[in-house]
Amino acid sequence: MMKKVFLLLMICCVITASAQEQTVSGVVTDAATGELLIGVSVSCEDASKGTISNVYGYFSLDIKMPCTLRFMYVGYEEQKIQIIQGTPLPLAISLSEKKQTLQEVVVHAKNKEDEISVSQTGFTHLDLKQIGTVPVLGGEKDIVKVLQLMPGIKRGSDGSTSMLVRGGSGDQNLVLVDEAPVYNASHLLGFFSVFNSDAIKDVTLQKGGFSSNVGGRLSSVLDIKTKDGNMKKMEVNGGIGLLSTRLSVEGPIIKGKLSFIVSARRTYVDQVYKMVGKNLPFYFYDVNGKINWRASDKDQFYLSAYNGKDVLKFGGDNEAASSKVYDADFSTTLVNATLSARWNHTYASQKMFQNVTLVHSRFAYELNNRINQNELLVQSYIQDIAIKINEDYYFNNSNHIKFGGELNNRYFRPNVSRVKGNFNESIRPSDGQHLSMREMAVYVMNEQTITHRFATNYGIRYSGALTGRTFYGNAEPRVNLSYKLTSSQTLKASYAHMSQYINLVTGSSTMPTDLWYPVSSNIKPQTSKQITLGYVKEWEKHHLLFSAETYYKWMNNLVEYKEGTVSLLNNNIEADLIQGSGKAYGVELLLHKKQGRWNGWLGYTLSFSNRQFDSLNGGETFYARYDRRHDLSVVANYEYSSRITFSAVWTFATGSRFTPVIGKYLMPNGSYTDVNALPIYSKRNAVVLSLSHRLDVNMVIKCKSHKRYSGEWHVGAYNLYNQTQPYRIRIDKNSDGSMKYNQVGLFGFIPSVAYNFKF
Amino acid sequence: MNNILVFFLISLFMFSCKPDAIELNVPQAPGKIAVASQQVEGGFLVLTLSRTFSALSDKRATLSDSIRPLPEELLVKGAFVQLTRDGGQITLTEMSPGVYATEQLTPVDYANYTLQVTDAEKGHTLSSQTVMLPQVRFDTVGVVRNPQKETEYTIHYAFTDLPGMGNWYVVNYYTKDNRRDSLPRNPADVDYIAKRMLEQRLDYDLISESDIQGGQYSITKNFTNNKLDTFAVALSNISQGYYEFLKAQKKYNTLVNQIRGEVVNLPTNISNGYGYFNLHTPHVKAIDLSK
Repeated sequence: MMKKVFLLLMICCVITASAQEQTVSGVVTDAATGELLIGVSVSCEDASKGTISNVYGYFSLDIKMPCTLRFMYVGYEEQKIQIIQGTPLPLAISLSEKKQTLQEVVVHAKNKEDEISVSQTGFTHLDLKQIGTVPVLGGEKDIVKVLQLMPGIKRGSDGSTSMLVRGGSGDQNLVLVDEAPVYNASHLLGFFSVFNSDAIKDVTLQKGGFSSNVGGRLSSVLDIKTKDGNMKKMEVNGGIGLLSTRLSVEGPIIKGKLSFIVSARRTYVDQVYKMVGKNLPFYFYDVNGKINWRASDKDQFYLSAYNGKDVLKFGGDNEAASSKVYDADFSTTLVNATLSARWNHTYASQKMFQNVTLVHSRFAYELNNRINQNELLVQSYIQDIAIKINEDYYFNNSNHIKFGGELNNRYFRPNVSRVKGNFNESIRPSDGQHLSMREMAVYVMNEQTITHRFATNYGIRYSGALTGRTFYGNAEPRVNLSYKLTSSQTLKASYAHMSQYINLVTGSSTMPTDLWYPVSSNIKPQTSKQITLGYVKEWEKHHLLFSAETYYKWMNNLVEYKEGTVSLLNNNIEADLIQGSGKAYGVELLLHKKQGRWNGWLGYTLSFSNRQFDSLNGGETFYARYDRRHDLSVVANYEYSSRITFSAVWTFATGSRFTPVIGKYLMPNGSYTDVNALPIYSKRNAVVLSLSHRLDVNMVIKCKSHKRYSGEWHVGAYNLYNQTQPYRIRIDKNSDGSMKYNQVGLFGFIPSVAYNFKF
Repeated sequence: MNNILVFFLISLFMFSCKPDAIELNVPQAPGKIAVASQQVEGGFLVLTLSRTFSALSDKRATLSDSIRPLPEELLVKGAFVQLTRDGGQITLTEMSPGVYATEQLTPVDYANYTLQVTDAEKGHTLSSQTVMLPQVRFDTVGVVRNPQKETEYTIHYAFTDLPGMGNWYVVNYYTKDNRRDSLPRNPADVDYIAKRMLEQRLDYDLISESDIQGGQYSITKNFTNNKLDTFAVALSNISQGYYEFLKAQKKYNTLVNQIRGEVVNLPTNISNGYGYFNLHTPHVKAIDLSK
């Protein structure tokens, strides 16, 4: 099958092959830092065809000699290089940053023409250079929070970094940091993402027309590349915000050859409280490190690591213990760690580029409950060890073939429990389950330019998982088509088939005890089929871009808990899992002003997401918990002067859904020794919480620049008009003794001040 | 410097506001009647009829707190309760508010019984059907106190499964627990929570076909409890529906479920009502531990 597909691809390539005179390849870097630049437009001045540098800064192009190569990248000076016989290859191009008078906005296509030219639907590229202007909670920069402002990407509850993409659930998003999967992308129970923006170089998100080189989740792939480290000089970045402080150091170990970067971030409020003798039971930290070695002009090696930890502990202070008859505490610890080693190699033909990555990733959580001498400890973890091989073959200027594969050995240990004291009588300690799964995938794809109007990106991925003696395999065809109606208008269409072999089994509660669980002989892989239609129009003169996409997604073998399941201390989770199907469909609109004193965007999503499980809701179809019908984001930036920028974000969304208890009745227990009040629930997710809307504002004041030092103040406010963003329901008592349902918000008006520096 | 930093941070937090809660109107379930049935050897059947109530009517009802005694306003008084089998009818007598009983129930294996209730006060009616299942008796039952530790007991029992597939059983344990009465009743009290976790351990066990090997079920269980005087164990052959009802009830009644469990919709065989109407004749064995 794969052989035939590959043959077909080659035939397609040959049909469109043009005369080949000379292949020119190379890498493009930032002149000041030596950082590889992704998505640089490379073209021969007198030819209509060109290419862009890949995620490793590499490009390859067939040209006719002599030729003047033109390199263009947003925010950088254009550069031209004359290529003649004898020009040393591969090229090493350095682009210098432009001195900008007006800030550009946060999210834009890879280069100026990409929104129109790129054939993929549902593709977002985040430019991190301007991320700091968007106001966020506590003044902390957060890439996920900015992504949540794009159409089709919704947040869970208020302040949460969970992403719900096109009607999918939170576990259907693959988050990769330097190719390593991150299983828990949140700090502080979901209010901050684990990504320190100082360490990040590039962020892309796919949610519709997935390319065949990614997979493993149904709804999105968030690909984060960290900085390689400054090859030219030492540089220090840092900042102190309302909640955390961060520092990043990067520089050359051997100039132009070997560089490093270390970025660390930690909340410090607990330490401040400690100074005044108080106990604040929470902190988190994360550390990113990377070493980058350019061994030769053909080989480059990277070693990248991430480690983050959250600790939350309630109770247990001595004061309380001495005044009460009991001493109790509860703590949660979450640990994320990834390590990836990467080798980039350019073949002598200059047409082929290889990336080999070894990956280790581990996520663990621990819950500790103690009442006097009685203690219960519950631990779970998931671990990946994987190898990925990706080959880029620049067949000709019209065909860019990619192929490769990956093999991942996953190991799961859900619900390991230890008990001490009286808990021994009611809770049995457990060694948990030892579960392993081998997941593999091979793919081949081609990015083909058929005519100057018609481009396509097609391929197939075959993925599979071996669990015990059961093997599941899925062929995943994917196609993206784009047709330029005019130079400023494009129609797009895509089809993508996705498979997922692990599930995050999420309960209704908000405790951080969600469990990753693999497919098994009983639990089948989740699959989806998605079609997307898109239209893009650009008004170049006004720097305006409009895009509209509509999608329909069919999802199968989705996983939920059986009614009444308690995941905590459950040694046979699998017996409590059920599978069903879902559908999601909607329309996403984006109006984006890219440049100018006023810039920003307006994103709107109309969406529907439903589920059907035979044993839930009486078998009837029900809406998903985060089926928010309308979602609107307005992002506005105004550059008052070269030193002062104002920003505002207004978000509006239909409330999420929940299943309340709407009545009770009395019933003797099974042994008729007692009477219990039993619940009557509404239909599943039948009640919609109130609308969420809020305004966040921010002002950036740049300090007067010095030769070696720069700094900026961020002054802002989250939820300026203190609007409740309902995230849960509780039953409260009225003054007359009657009861009522109340929707509780988490964050109200929160002012923030942050200072960032660089030298 | 430290003090300035602390002052600055605290000032910022002081300017922060907590948003007001927003009231939400959630329509409550229409009022209906809930049925519970209990049968003992000798043709004695007791039905308890109670009214459903709003989830907002009592704070305690939002957790599944045990409510003792039954609040009188929730009991269905003066209802007409009739049991029908093969044209024969038995009208149950109201023994006390909400409790209806008869001593004239003649167990006929696999016979269909229909229950009909008319609530004169509110005009509610309900009906239900069930099948009387044959009694299954213990083969052996024994309780042994651990001589090393007076608070530990071991119970062993065995019974023979009825022929054919698809049998379900409930085994109820009754003890006199001296400690239980002394439990603090404040659910917010940590000691209460810890002790409640202990006392919930063994109220009843549910046994399905998959638990039974070779037509026989036999089990040895350990209890840790204060000194007991009497121990009783009752075996009932029940329908699958009632088994599922008790299973769901058991799930819901665990403390952990109420804190972080999933929704539990309890099954019912009551038309226009809640609860479960089930007829089964238990086999009860009582053991005097003082002897």
